[in-house]
Amino acid sequence: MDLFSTMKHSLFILLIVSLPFWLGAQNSYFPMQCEGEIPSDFLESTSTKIDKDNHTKNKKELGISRKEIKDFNAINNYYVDLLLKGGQIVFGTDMNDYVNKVGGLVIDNFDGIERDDIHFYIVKSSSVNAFTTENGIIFINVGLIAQLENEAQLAYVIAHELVHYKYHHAINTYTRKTTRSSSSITRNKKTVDALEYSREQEFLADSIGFVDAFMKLDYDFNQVLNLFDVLLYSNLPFDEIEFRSDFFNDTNYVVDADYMLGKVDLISNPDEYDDTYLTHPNIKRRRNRMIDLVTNFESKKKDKFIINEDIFKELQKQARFEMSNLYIIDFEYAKAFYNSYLLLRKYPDNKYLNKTITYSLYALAQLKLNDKLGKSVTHYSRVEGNSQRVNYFFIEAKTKDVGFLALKRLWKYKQQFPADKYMSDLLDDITYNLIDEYHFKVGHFYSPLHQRVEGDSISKEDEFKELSKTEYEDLSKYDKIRYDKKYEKYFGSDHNQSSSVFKTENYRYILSTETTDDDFKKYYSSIYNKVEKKKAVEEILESVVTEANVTVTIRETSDTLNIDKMILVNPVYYYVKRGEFKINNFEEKETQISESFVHVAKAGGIDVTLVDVLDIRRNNVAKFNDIAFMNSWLVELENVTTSYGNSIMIPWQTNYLYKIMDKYDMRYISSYGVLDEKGFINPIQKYMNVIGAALFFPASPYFIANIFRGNNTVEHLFYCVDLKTNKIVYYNREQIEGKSNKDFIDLLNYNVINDLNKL
Amino acid sequence: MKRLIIIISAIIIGGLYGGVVAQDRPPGYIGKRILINADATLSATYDLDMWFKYGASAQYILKKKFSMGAGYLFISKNVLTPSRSDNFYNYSAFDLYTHMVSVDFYFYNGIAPVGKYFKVSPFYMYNYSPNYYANGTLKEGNLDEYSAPNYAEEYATCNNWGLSILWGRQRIIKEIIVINYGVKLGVTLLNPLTQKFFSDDLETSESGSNMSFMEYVSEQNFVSTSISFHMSIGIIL
Repeated sequence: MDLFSTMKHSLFILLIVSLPFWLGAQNSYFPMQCEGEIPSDFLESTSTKIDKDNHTKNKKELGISRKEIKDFNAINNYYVDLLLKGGQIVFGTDMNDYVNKVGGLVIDNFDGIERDDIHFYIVKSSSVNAFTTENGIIFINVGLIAQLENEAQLAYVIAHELVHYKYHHAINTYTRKTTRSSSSITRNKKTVDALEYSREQEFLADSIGFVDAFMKLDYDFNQVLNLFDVLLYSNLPFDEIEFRSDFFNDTNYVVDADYMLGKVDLISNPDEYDDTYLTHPNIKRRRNRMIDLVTNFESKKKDKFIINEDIFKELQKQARFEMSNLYIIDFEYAKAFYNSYLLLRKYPDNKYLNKTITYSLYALAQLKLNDKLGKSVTHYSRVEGNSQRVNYFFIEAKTKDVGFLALKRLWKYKQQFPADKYMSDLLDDITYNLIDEYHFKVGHFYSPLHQRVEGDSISKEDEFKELSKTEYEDLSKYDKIRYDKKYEKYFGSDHNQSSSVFKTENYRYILSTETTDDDFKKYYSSIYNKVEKKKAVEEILESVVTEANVTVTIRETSDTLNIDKMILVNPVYYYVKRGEFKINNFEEKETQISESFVHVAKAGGIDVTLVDVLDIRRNNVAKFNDIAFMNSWLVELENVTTSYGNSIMIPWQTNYLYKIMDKYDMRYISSYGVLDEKGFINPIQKYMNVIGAALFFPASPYFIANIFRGNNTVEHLFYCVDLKTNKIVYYNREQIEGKSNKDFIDLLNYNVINDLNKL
Repeated sequence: MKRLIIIISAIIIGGLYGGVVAQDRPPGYIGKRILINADATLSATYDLDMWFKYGASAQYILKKKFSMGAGYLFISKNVLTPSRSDNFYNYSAFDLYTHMVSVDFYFYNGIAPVGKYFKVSPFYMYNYSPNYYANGTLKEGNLDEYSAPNYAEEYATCNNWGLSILWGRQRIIKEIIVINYGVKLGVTLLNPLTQKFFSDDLETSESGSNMSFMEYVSEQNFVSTSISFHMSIGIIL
């Protein structure tokens, strides 16, 4: 090792070892972002990569036809680029450096592969996985780093992936899968064969990776077998700690015992599953095959770490922190909640973890309010371990409980960090939605020890003495009715039956502590008044509308939006020909549709800033990260948006997007895509064209061409989000018969601009 | 006074309509909503006789999928008229000129003015001939003897009405040039089947009986409008 390498190594160690200090000192965490120079994998166009591969891939070496190679190169590069440029891949971080170092160690001991052949990238994905492309890119998921126990396991994973690369497993599986056949039985058989082939390749990668590379290193061989245990239980979180209700409890409120699962099911042994239709073999089978191999050899040394244990532990911690972020982005709020819960036990004051757990609670409450919890939370009967308790709680707890617990936690967060605008927006949002749903006044919540303190929010007119159960029973029938009515007026419509009056309503204790705080009462009442004011306006308008028999659209604000500039993120173009996705010239088309949008927007008086990965220069990693965030945010937004274009909640990544939008001085962010589809002509149209050709023979070429040309449709999807209000202000989906020629795209784009100008 | 009321009403209604249009302004093509076209229509009959019509049209986009316009087409045709004389046919010929004006309603499949559309056009046809015998007798002669020896003092004329529908596609090139093509079907009110019902009413010439002229007109109008191939080129403003 020369002096320069030694210095670099020392610097690297210093940097990594300073991580805990950084985490501790900041007492926070920022989601992973790319650093340094942008690698050429991200900057080259897909078509260039396809051309390059078409010239370099040797059909003799691969044993497949030129056409199969070309097809594979197109598909492979398209999907890999989609991943590379989609905002999920990380380069240049400490985690990348570490993986590169471990990877380099393995490659150096692997015959036939050079370090330059392989590029390692980290994928911001919660799934426990790693995968390789034909071009020598090895992707390691954050989820895998979070679950691995040591460096030896990571080295073995890399050795396994290198075998896939060396023996061209990706292209071989592809050609087996895509072999054409007219018979469906043959096609099915081919698919099963391809899967079997894929599983065989996994066994090969397991054994060759061990023999050709891992064995030559000083790692503990037993870690190979331990890795299979990690994979076997990868569906479980990184730790198993009981989820306890005291997380929510305070001096006034204790979670209803019915919401907590007494005993969780034992974690089953997930090794007996059928792998016929899976690409990877049953893990138990893989482990059993490896036992014979591993036990035949004795490790020279039994190292679990060669590069550095401390670095590994720090990066593992970083990966676990990152998991909360990734689960939220993936719409898995219960998992995010539990992941943060586990980490908070070790880092109770960490601002980031407090934020992720609070957001998860907010998101789950919003889902419950919208009856969409099932979209995010798996039923507890299908979950194992302590996650079962978490899922049980969110499924069984009433919406009111989860909602007001979220409100309580957000209020607490606001008290701690009053400058955090994003979390204040979440608080406003959930408070508004809860009041809109239940119409509870602040007095509805019991004051501490259930002794109401007279406050400003209770007017004398409304004031009345609440009776004990015995006092109530002594009332006459009519007095009971009067009492109930008054009770309803005072506390809201939720209590219109006398029997429910004295039923323990535990949720009314949730905000007991907060009701002693004047600031809270003031805040809650202001939102309450806002909701009531809106309700009153709606009622008046409704009566006017009913009388006049006209339709009126109610706007929340009388101001027009006046959209004069916006950001447009990565427009996408897809071409589907007779049900088959085609990659032909998609980059040219994407450029064309982007240019069209910018041009027609300008004609319509809107200045559009296009942010596209293809425009980025090598040293502009900041812009690359901005685009990655915007892409990821848009995916998240789609997840939290109903098919009608209404968002259920404020996306998590809006938190980070505020800064980016400030940087660009933008309030509106938009995205759009075009789907160009060529389908078959329907029988009626076919006959109409035949008749047309016969009736009007001079134009028969036109009619005959129609028969063979098929139907073309263009689908145009566009939406625009106002980051000031966190709402989708415009959503448009248009499907029109025609081709995506320039005039057609201009037309569709201007249609959007025209609508935006009316807002 | 009555005239004033009509003018004021027209202004108010126009203003209201304008208001509605402004409120729901259709996108058009990058904001352009006026199209002016030079049109050509070709019809062919069973005996391969070709009719060529040319003219101009304009349309204004009123709604996202709807536009309205007007069109003019001119047809010039030398009509051969066989007449039996003893044992053989003689042919006469006369020049038939037709001015055709229409009101056009365009319904677009997608967004006006690009893509497939369907057009409905009620039209009016004014037919006249400068060399058709006003007394109703055809000039006897050979094919090369076109002109009548005695011109009528007044033209033989005939009015007709009809309705056409067109299925077409429209494209815009370089953001200004409009290209349009389609197939048109039409029907005239006065046609070989109905002409006998109109014989009294449709006598438009003041120079006496021109029944035969009307018969020819009804046939020629019917043939020229029944099915045709339409093309046009124009600009969008």
